[in-house]
This record gives sequence, C-alpha cells and structure tokens, in this order.
Amino acid sequence: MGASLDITGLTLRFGGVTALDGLDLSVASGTVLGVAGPNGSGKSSLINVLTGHYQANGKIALDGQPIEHLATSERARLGLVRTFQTPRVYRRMSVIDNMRVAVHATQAIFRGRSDRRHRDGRLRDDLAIFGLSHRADALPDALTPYELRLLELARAHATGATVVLLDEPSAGASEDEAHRLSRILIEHLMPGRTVLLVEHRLDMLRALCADLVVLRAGRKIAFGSPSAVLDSREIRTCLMGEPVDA
Amino acid sequence: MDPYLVSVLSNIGLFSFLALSAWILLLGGEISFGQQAYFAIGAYAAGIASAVWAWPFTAAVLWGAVLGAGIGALIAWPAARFTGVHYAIATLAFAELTRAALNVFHYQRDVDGYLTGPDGANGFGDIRWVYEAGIEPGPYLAVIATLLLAVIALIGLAARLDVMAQLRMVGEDPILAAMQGVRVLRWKIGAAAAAGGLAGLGGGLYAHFATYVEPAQFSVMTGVHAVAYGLIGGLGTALGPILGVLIDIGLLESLRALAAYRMIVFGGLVAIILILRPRGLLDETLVAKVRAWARR
Repeated sequence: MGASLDITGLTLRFGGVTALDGLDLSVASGTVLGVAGPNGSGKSSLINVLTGHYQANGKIALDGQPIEHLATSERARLGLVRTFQTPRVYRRMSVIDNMRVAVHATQAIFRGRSDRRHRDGRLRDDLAIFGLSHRADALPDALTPYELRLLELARAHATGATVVLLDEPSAGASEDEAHRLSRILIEHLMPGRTVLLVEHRLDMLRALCADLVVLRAGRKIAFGSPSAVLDSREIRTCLMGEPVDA
Repeated sequence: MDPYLVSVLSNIGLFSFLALSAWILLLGGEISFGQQAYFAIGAYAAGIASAVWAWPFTAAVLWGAVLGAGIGALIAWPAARFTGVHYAIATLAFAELTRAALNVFHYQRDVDGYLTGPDGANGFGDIRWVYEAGIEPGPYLAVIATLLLAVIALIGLAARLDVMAQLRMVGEDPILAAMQGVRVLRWKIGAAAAAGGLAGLGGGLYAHFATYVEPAQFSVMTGVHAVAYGLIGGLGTALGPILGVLIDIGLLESLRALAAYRMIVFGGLVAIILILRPRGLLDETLVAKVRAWARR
C-alpha cells in the first residue's frame, strides 16, 4: 500500500529567508521517517511543499514518479495526505460527513445507492477503530481537541492514503493522550503506509520511527536511527535547548 | 385563482431561479453581486429567439439558459481565481457592463409589420409567444412551478451524489479541499456555469411572463436581493433561498400595508438575521440536526 517518497535538492525561500536549503530525503515504502528540529527549522514548510501548497525548487518523487509539477489536488489523488498541527475539518459538516467527503472527493460521482451505503458502513467502522463512533453525527465544534485529532487520523485512514504526512499529531495533547495516539498510529494508521512524522515529543519519535532526520535552518544536520541521533548531546541541545545546571 | 395571487406566485417562482443562482455560488464560498446579468442575458436571448426569430418557446427558454451557463463559465474562468471581495467586485463589474451594453443594444427586425427586438434603454417589448399561444397566467404559473420543482429535484439528486458536498468543501475551506483531492478551480467554474444557467432559465421565463424587459430592471439592487435571499433563507438547503424570496416578495412586497416600507423592513430583516443566524434561517446546523433526527 505504501509508496516511496524521494526528495532531492528541495529549496524554498520567502524573500530573504531560506526555509528549506537544498534538502535531500528518502522515505522507503511502508516506513516511518521522523522529522525533528527547532521552531523555524523548516518542518512545516517541508509538508507544505510536499502537498504542493508552497512551490519550491527541487525534485519530489512518489514511487519514482515526479510530482513536483502537479497541483495540490492531483498529489492528493495519488494518495498523498496530510494532517495539520491544528486539526482542520469542515466545521459545518458532521463527523461522518467529514469522513464521507474526504473519501468521495477523489472518487467518481456516479455510484449506485448500495455502493454508497456500503461505503457509509465502512466509514462508521473506521470511526469505531479510532474511537469516534459515538460522535458520528456530531458537529466538530462538539468534539474535544483530542477527538478532532482522532477525526483527522480516521479521515486519513479512510481515504486509503499511501503516504501520510503527520504534522505534530501530539500538539496540545496531554501525556496520556499522546500515549494513546502513539498506540493508535502504530496499530491502525502506520501499517503498510509511508509516513513522515513531524513531532516534538522525543519519546514518540523513539517509539514510532525507523529513521529520524533533524533539521536546522532548512538543512539536514543529523540522520539515522532515533536512538543514535538522539544520543548526541549536540542534537539534544539543538532540539531542547541548553541543559540548565542545578 | 385570483389574478393578483397568480402574479405574486409567478414572481416568487421566477425570482427563486435568481435566488438559487446566487445560493449555488454562496455554497462555493463566493458572493456574486452579478447574477442579475445572467437573468438579463437569459431574458434577452430567449425574448429575441421567440419574438424576433420565431423560435418555439421551449427552444427559446433553453437557449437563454445555455447562453447564461456558457457566459457564466467564461466569466468564471478568470474571475474564479479571485476570492472574497475581489470576486464580488468582479461579478458586480461584469453585471454593470452587461446592463450598460444592453442600454445601447439595438437589434430590431420587421416581424409582421412591426419593428420588434431590443431597442437600447427603451427596452424590449412584444415578447408575446405565451399570450399568442393562448396560455393563461394560471397555466404559465404551472410551467414556472414545474421547472422550479425540477431544478430543486436536480439539486436534491446532486446532493445525494455528493456533488453539493464537494462544492461545500470548496466553499468552507478551499485549501483543505485541494489537499483532499478536490479540483477547486473546476468546481468554481462549474458552479458559476450552473448558476449562470439557472439565472438564464429564470430570465427567459421572466421575459415571457412580463412580455417587456428593459436594462433598468437588471440593476445592482436585483443582484443584492438575490444574494440576500440565500443569506436570510439559509444556506443549508435549496429551500433556503426560496424561503428568502417568499419572505421578501410573498410577505413584504405583496402585503400592501407593508409595500411602501418594503426596502426598510427588508434591510432591517437582513441585518437582524445575519446577526442572529449568520448562515440564514435554514442553515447547515439545522439541516444536519433534521437529517440526524430523520435517520433515527
């Protein structure tokens, strides 16, 4: 189900600020690459460039096919899906409708009624997996921030995306919620998919990623297994600031 | 039926097409102050077709709708790249251009010894096909109502096939919609074509109902009303804009005691409803609640 993602020489400038500076990255099909870095290091810009929201110089290939010239919608149709730091849903649609439109956006309009009913059943099953069945008919404003996060993940899951870009899924989550999120990601969203996980929580990066890349000022300053990368005192200082001596 | 009642109901039906036209664009997230232009285009095109070219009524009205849709798509092709206030101004500018053009549009031909056709600011009279065919106002009202019901049924079908949902995605969050695979620009152009076609259809029916049209009828105020109908009636269902027309034409214009104060009362009503219910009386929340309740 997953597809490989290859990035070569990605450069993005906003006026005089360089957000991404000749970045090279590869995510093998079906693996999870963690992305860490201090604020402003280019993590969110990377996701925005991959979805086509920002135009950057450089090459992006999905399963070997170049996609850098494709519009945002066409990249999504190839199975490239993202979540947002602050969950982004349609506030005027119920939870189940949010699922439905996300799945149907890329599919043929003319389908039979039984087909649609079958799909609705599947969407409710997906909501159940992510623990949201009791919220199916609620409007998003009635959901907690954590439930909104789950809705984004359930939505990404239901679309059958091959590559998922997760932008700080634990942002705003409590310790307990972050643990539950990790478990849901491992059990339901990640299997078989290629995932780029932008995250600040080092415990999540250690638990979820095969490889970890650390960015600073749009450049790769470290790459390797999470334990190896995070063992470096220099990297930990970069990510968490100078240790304070008691 | 009382002739006055027939005339009021016909007007409600005819302006419902214009209201639905503006409503479709509102769903796609854009405010158009220019749908009266397509109403005018449909009225003139259908009127010329039946009165000057002696086309049958059905073909003439259909031609008005097709022309409205085509020009709607053509204008949207550049205009849909704008959003918000820029889009509103672009549509307003197009509508005023259309009205100004109709003011100098002369296309008169000899029909049975009379010069017939648009005569600039003097208007365009003798669109008499319906009367010459002996169709009374009552049956003509039935024609309007049937076509309006057909349009509502078509919108209902589109909603079942998730067409309206995709338009609502574009309307609520075009960036998210694009990231989910929705081809936003195509939807905006498609919505503008559908809206232009609906207004054109209404305009063609209107020309044959009134038998006389003139550019001044298609002023900015007509377009502002068209937007207001959806905003007060509600954006949650196609019945919303029609409720808006009912409130304005059915209640305010037709109750003679209120008629003199119509614009004051209508303006106040729009302001109050937009404060209390920003997405109108029949808004998405209400419709979602009704749907969830009906599913039980």
